[in-house]
Amino acid sequence: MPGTEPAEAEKPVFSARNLSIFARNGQKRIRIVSDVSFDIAHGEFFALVGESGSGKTMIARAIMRLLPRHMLEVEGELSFQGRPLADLPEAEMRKLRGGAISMIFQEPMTSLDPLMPIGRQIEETLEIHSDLGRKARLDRIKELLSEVRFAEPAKTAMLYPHELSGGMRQRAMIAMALANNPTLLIADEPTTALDVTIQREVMEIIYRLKEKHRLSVLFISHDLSLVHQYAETVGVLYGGVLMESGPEEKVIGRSAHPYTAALLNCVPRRRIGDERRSGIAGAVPSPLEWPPGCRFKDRCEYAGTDCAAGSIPIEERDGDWTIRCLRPLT
Amino acid sequence: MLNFIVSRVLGAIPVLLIVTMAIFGLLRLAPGDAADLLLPDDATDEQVEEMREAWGLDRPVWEQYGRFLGNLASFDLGESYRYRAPVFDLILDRLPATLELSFYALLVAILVSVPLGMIAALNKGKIIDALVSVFSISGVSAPSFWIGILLVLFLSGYMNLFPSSGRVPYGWPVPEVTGFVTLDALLAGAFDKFVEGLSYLALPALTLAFAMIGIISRITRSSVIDAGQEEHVFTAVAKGMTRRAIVRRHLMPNAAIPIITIIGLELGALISGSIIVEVVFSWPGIGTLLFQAISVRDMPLTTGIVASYTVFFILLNLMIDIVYTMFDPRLRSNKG
Repeated sequence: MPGTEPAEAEKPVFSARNLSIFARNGQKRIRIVSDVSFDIAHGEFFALVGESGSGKTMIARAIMRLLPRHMLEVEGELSFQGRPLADLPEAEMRKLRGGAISMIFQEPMTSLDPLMPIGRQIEETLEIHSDLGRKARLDRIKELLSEVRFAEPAKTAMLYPHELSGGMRQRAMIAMALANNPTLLIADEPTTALDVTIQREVMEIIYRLKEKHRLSVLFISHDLSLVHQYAETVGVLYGGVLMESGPEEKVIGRSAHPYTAALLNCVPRRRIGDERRSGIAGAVPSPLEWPPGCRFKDRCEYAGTDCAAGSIPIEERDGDWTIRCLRPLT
Repeated sequence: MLNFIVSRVLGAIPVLLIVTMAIFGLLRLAPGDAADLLLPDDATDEQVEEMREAWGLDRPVWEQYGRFLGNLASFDLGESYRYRAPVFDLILDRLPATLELSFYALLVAILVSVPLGMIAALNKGKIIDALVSVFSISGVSAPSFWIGILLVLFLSGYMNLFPSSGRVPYGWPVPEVTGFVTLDALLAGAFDKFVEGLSYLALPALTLAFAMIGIISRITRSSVIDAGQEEHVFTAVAKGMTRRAIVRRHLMPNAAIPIITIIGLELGALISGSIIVEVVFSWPGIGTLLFQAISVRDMPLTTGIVASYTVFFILLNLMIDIVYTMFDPRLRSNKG
């Protein structure tokens, strides 16, 4: 356990320390993610869970620096393989993107260029990050496409996105993301737009590749049953704040935070949990009207008056489990 | 693809029927009569009647139209009242002048407006974007005859840069091969004549281009902005591509489709615009011919020109549709 033997522990591949993200709109500066810290170890499957509007996609985009600085400001520390990402010049950042850090997106229907064959789109990323010749690139494309289970990779490479189904496009996206043997794969809700059977297929591919290549995965999702099944470590995000994080069996299995518990209660009984409910009353407040104190308190059935006062301290348990709550359930 | 072309050409037939029918009807509704207008003032009533009879103007309109269609089936557009020559030959004779002018106008319009729209889009919200907007909105709003007159006054009258009217001076020494003055000059190796030919083209082509530049640059701007917000551009950034490479390989091809559409639509405006511009600049093309034909109610010539404009427009749109399928694979695979 990292907490007990820090000197011996492997350095994390990725770490976020006190990460805050601000959206800029003219003179206004709105905090959308507050003080989030987490680590992803080598070969670890880390899931970031939260409702829409919780800021999880913003974190992914901040890591890749995908939004222009005048729209998004980042505070705190992001580091990749021990290198701080904040002061990395744009040219260096470009080398990481699609190289050591790669990303797959939520919408396979729109994430590929409709005017370019799949193979060519994969080839582009090889052209940028590898010094393979034309012939070697084409071989690599075929290899990648068969790795994501296309039966006829040479033929698939010639196809345009509209000639593939949603699941096939997402597999092609995964092939593209893996092209340069990344260390960290960021998967931003990769299965949300797919139907359930296809979801499983895509998740199995991601998981198999993670095992095979010892890939670190930052998996962003709101689907707790997928998280339960595949994640080793889980971070639960609400209103831009990390409510609870730790090993899957603790966060999902024994959930101490009322919010995690409430989320789990929303999952249909057949999959996990014991009591079924229709949802959590109320909605995620907008970043403009976050209440002081705990951001979940207005929807929390255990909240007391002290929950509204000041910032809620983080409680650490066993060195690997953090809970930001005054009234943990367990 | 062949099926597509054949079906489009066949689809043009009813369009042609409707257009010719409309022009037939409109010309007969207009006051004045070719026989009255073309014969001298002192012609006797008998002479006028004789003329009307010779041209078939005394027959009912439907009969005249029937005869016109019968002739059209054998590519005979009849004979011009005024020029006493076959309409088909008259059009063919003037066609190169109009095509040459339209070509240069379109070329200038595309070369100016597409980069302008792109620059505006890539600098969205900055001062340069606002400047381009002002320029293109004035291009859209200013009528072309007015722009034409301003250009003549300033570039030709005041600065004496370009000739203010006409196509080439009398006694033009370049042998006619294609009928396109600039192309013929190049074929003859006479570069100075090429430049001279261009100088005559400059003002009418700029005038025609100006109106198109406004619209095409607006559409280019918005389609580049739209294309930039597509998810796959994020994917390209996440691949580690540079901004330049993304613009060239992903943004521009995707923005091209709406730009091609608007250029196709603008070709229609080019045809109608060229009539006014040709008259303003005394350009010896089809537009001037049409203007003259209408003013003397030269019915076969007017109908013939309008019918050939229609065919022209249909062919241009067909070309645009073919260009589309070259750009967009989604359109290709729908048809076996």
